[in-house]
Amino acid sequence: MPKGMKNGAYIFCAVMMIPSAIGIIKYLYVNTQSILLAFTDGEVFKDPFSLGNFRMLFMDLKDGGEVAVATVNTFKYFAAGLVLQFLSYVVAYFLYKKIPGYGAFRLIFFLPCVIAPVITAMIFKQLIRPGGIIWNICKSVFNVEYEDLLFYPKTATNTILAFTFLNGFGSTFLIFIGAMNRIPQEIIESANLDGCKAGKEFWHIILPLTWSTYSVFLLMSVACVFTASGPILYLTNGGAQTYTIGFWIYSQVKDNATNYPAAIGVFFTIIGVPIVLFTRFLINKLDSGVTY
Amino acid sequence: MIFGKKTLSRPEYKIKKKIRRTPVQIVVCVLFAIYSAIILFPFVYAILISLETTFEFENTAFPLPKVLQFKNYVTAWKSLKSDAGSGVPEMFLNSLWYAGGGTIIGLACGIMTAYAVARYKFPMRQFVYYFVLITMMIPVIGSMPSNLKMMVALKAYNSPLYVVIASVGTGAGFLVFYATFKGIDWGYAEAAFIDGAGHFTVFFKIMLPQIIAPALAIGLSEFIAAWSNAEVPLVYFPRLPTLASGLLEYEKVAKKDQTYPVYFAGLITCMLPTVALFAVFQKYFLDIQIGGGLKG
Repeated sequence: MPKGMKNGAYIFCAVMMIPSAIGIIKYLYVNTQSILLAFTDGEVFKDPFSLGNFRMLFMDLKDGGEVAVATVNTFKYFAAGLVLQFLSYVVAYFLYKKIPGYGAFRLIFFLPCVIAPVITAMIFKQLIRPGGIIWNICKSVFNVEYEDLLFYPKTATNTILAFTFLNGFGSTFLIFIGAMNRIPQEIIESANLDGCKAGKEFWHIILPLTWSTYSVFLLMSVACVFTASGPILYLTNGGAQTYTIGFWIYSQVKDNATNYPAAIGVFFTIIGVPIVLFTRFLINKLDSGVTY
Repeated sequence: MIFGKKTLSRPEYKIKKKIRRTPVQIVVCVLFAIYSAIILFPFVYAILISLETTFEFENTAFPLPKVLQFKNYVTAWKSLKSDAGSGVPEMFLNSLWYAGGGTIIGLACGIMTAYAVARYKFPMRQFVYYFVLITMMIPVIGSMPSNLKMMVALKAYNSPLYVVIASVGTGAGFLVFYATFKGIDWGYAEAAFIDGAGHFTVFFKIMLPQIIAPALAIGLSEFIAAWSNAEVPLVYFPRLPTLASGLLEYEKVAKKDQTYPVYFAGLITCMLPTVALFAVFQKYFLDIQIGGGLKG
């Protein structure tokens, strides 16, 4: 930048940073307010500070109440998410290897990303309803008649998990393909000349060389473990004990509760931060540090 | 090489043609084909339901309409109503300002912040960068109650003003734009400064045209995500339902009155704009996602 333009640059930067300044103030205000709400039973600064919300939370966890159920479900969804993420990585590998029809598969696997979950969820509900097409197939092939799968706690969570598996891989598999495409072809070719088979190529070349991409998604999954709510709203609206921590807080806020959900948020943030930092530490340990 | 363009020589062409398929690849291909059918079948099923009569829907497991009931779409457009009493046209309009407005404001904020942070040295520059990184990595859980209180206090509850307040910030795609601006040769800007251009001119006339591709890709993803989102409208503006939130609420009515074909016509209507966008920008959209992968 030429000399003498500095003042102009400062004014320019000040204008450009207005939205982010508002964003930072908003973020700090909202989260401070959230912490204050957690330690109050009513209005912040009007009602006295108390630990009542946290006492209620520990009682709930101890007695196996809604928050305890939500915590268990959260980890179930998290585990399923990790499996799905690895599957999407494997899918990306085969698409990267350009199996027959890879262009069409790439398009079809991405399709659910552009369709609102309310639509896919409603279709899924129709397909699996008693008397629906899946129910009829089960009846005629296996002679099994099932009740409404989304109505009973025993089957509802697993049905939602099945839906997430049948609903594509999101857009992550495309990013994995992008990372794989950047691996120099010479490395793959020389390994193949040395007799390296597909399995070895996948575990010993592709995975280490794209680990930094994969690990970012792994870290993001851990970071979002307590905020993710998946398709619960669309399939059961939290009924049949299918709620996660993220969804439970959401449904409480929808019902105008503020203090208790804020306390639960603060509690799980405190738990979540060391988990994220530890995962980051582990990921960095596993990183082979290969650059190309 | 002819005039800088790489052309395939004969042997290279032959090598490209001789791609051998292993049995594993064939098996995977079959599995992928089955999975593709699983993904596609529900949409065909939904379209068929939307074209049958209520009687056919109630009496057959698999929808096979004798006469295609396109009037279901007209009925959906005219008579579907959300809990708040909004019809499909109003919900469509609400979806438009929520998804479109949020995307435009979010993109503008992201681009402005990323450009200043990536290309100018000023106090707090590093703070903004790390602030974005940390808030991405450690999301604060349960800030929704206080966020809702803030929206009520700012009179943004049940108002389109929500979009403005919610979208203003470090913006969408900050990290992508930051990397893109870092990668653009600063020589263009310096040449423009020497020719007498100001900072705003350089930003609008030189820098912005160079980031149209990632901006369009991020904008499309943001638009589709917002269009599909029912959670946010249900909490922050329940009296202004979008197509996603309104149709979610309408399911209760469809269940009670058994008007599923009309309901599915409404769902298909909701799907059309995002599918059309994807169809138009499909190749470009997929390529940008693949090309935009994080460095491996």
